[in-house]
Amino acid sequence: MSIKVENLKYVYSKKTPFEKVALDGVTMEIEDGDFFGIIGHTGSGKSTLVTHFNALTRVQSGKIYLGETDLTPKKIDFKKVRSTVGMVFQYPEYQLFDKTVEDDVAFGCKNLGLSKEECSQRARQAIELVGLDYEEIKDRSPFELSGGQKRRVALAGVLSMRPEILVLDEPTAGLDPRGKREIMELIVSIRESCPTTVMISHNMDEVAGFCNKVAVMAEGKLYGVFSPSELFSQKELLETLGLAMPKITALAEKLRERGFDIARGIVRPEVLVSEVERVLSS
Amino acid sequence: MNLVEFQNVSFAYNKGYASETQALDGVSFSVGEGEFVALVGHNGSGKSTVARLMNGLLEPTDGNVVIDGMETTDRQKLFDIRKTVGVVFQNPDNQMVASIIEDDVAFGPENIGLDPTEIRERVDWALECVGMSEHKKGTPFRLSGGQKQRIAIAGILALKPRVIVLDESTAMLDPVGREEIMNVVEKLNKEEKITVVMITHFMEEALRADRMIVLSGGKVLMDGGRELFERADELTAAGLDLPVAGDVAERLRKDGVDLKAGITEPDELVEALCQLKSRT
Amino acid sequence: MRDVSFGQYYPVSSPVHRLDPRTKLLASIIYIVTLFFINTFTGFGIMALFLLIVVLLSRVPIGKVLRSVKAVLFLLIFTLIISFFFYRGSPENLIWEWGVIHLYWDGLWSSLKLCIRLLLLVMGPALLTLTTTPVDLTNGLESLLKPLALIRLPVHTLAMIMSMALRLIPTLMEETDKIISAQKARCAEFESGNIFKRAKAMLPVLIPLFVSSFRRADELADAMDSRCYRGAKGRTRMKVLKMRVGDWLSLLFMAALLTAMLFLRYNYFDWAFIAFLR
Repeated sequence: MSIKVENLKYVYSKKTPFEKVALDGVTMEIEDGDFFGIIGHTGSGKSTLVTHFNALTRVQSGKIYLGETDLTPKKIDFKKVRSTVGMVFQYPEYQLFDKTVEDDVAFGCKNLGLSKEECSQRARQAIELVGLDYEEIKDRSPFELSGGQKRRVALAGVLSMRPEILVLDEPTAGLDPRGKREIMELIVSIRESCPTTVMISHNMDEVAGFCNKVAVMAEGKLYGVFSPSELFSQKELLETLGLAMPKITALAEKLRERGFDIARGIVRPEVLVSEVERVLSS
Repeated sequence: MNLVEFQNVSFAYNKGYASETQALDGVSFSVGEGEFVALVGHNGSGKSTVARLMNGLLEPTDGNVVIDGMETTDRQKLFDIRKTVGVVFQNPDNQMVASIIEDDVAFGPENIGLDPTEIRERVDWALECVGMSEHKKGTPFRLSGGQKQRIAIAGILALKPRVIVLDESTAMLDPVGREEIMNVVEKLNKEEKITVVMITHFMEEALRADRMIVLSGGKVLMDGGRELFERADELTAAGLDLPVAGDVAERLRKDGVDLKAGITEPDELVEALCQLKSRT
Repeated sequence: MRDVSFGQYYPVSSPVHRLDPRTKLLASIIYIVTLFFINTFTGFGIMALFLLIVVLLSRVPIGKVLRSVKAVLFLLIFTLIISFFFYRGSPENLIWEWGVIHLYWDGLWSSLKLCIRLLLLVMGPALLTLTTTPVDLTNGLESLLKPLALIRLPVHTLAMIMSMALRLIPTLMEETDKIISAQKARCAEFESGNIFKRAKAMLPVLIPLFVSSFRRADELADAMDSRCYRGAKGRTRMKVLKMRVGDWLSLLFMAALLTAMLFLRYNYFDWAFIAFLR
């Protein structure tokens, strides 16, 4: 499923002294099968943009289409929209509340009005999808799990609604390097059943390593949508926006400056290694 | 005498209950005056327990924690220990006690009973050190994570501690905020000569310290300087990342490129590769 | 979102804003006491004029002060009607009667006085909160109540709890918003159904909020311990409240106002009052 955004504008606390323009004419399209990254500073409008996707934030001005569905009208089928676009917020483990892991994961299904059997079956699938042992974990309290497990359970709580698009806000925030790696691998594996992924991230290494398109936001405006190597070869743009380069790209850039004839915008270590070896052996 | 001394320290949460968990198991290390030490390890390696043992928030179940000659189990000395070792925690929102920034920074000095003029001087100095003077009359709620965390540091700084422990204080921040904190911490270490123990799992931050202690499974796995990065496989096994230059250097070495072990800095690698290139 | 920690504080600079919070607290108390002694329209007129002058001095828009009445408007009308309808006066000043309902002139006057008193009672303290931040109020209250620590009342602890609450309310509100969004994203509904259904629908918000509040409280306690907190013992303050000439003059004026009203009330020298003074 695709998301089409046309000239979207959003203002917080309209007509008060606290008025703030959060989105200022954003137009873009997320296509079926994209791993779509959104980068930008805190307060650049990223969160406001993505909460439009599942109608948590309602359209003030502009248009937004989820597949064929127009999300602009006041009355829309919220359940349909929110189960189609699964939204995983930052630190999703803080939303866990139910007595058992299974109940918590099934919360979304219950809200969709599905039968008990259907709920439990979907919960099982979702728990297995996030790499946890269903039988071992289903009756435990979500509050007694480890941090990493909690995050997986919270993720399963969204996946049980069987979304077609998964929106993730900083999915690896606060995790250690191994935890980060595992969650990213998990997200990639989820793409088999939910092929479109949107990810907000501050971590340029992750954006460079996983996304096929990257939207750059600054002060409510969209600077453009690029491929990672296209984006990260634009040193000047990144500098003016105060965004860091992926560390690997920065390293490659240093080598280029010293006369290494390697490609621009390298975003993966293995590519840099083979490029360097090519130069050294020539 | 060392400022911070961990002597064969063990710690278990919920000791004596079914849920007993061993967090630290015979940990020994020491930190001297003026050092900048990074304490790294995966989540659950016992890093945060170390922070809480260091100012007597927790008492070791076994072994001794000695701060400037004072044992943390000596409750009479607790106040002096906390004046010597200040701890900055992970979540900036959960460290703020007052609704106005300067009042928050004043909280520590007020607790140790200084007179108002001295408190005022310390508050102004501390806010100056972290570069937040212009916000002193404001509230913390509209600030960025990095700014809030700098205020938390100022709150500790106003107690004029000799050691500052940062317990994953950058983990919840964006890259800009992390850089702000690292700059403040380096400045405090270099200019104010404050001993810093930086608990983190970002290897790029650990690289900026003089020394690195690696914890794994509640034990000290390594303790030393730059040379530790030569032990790439062990670091990865401990759930840590190599700094990116180290990672690329390792991959090249494995493919037979003639590089020395223990390269960590991008410039180091670039230099070495340039030499190799000019030879061919 | 508005900073709740500022309450309804109206941030302008004025002589009233600059007064010591203790002065304002004491003045408010005297003001309230005075209102209870007044029972004539002249007296209420004087008090209303006094309040008007203070409002003008404070540079807070009058509308802001009047808005505070909105909350008690229903109570006000209810009081007026009940006390008017159920007043039992003497037959000579009967206005109108129908069945069991008797309306008297003096009933009307006394009900009107009751309402005016209520109005003035609400608006005075409203001005206090409009010109003083909750933080200052807490500090003022702590300082005023300090003598009570002698009878082992935990004044410091209570004041600390209050200022911590003020500090945490905005954080918890933000957190509530986040949790509501997260549960809405899982198709939770909060706006439909009867009251029981809605209360039950709040559980997925309240439980995480509770859990995180406890976690926050734990971390906050650690942070306070780390910053050498040990209660009121040996604690000093950076901002020491200081009474200036203006503060003393204001209090003197309030005392004079109270005395004047007492004279008005007790018919210039009522014998009982003089006996009391002796």
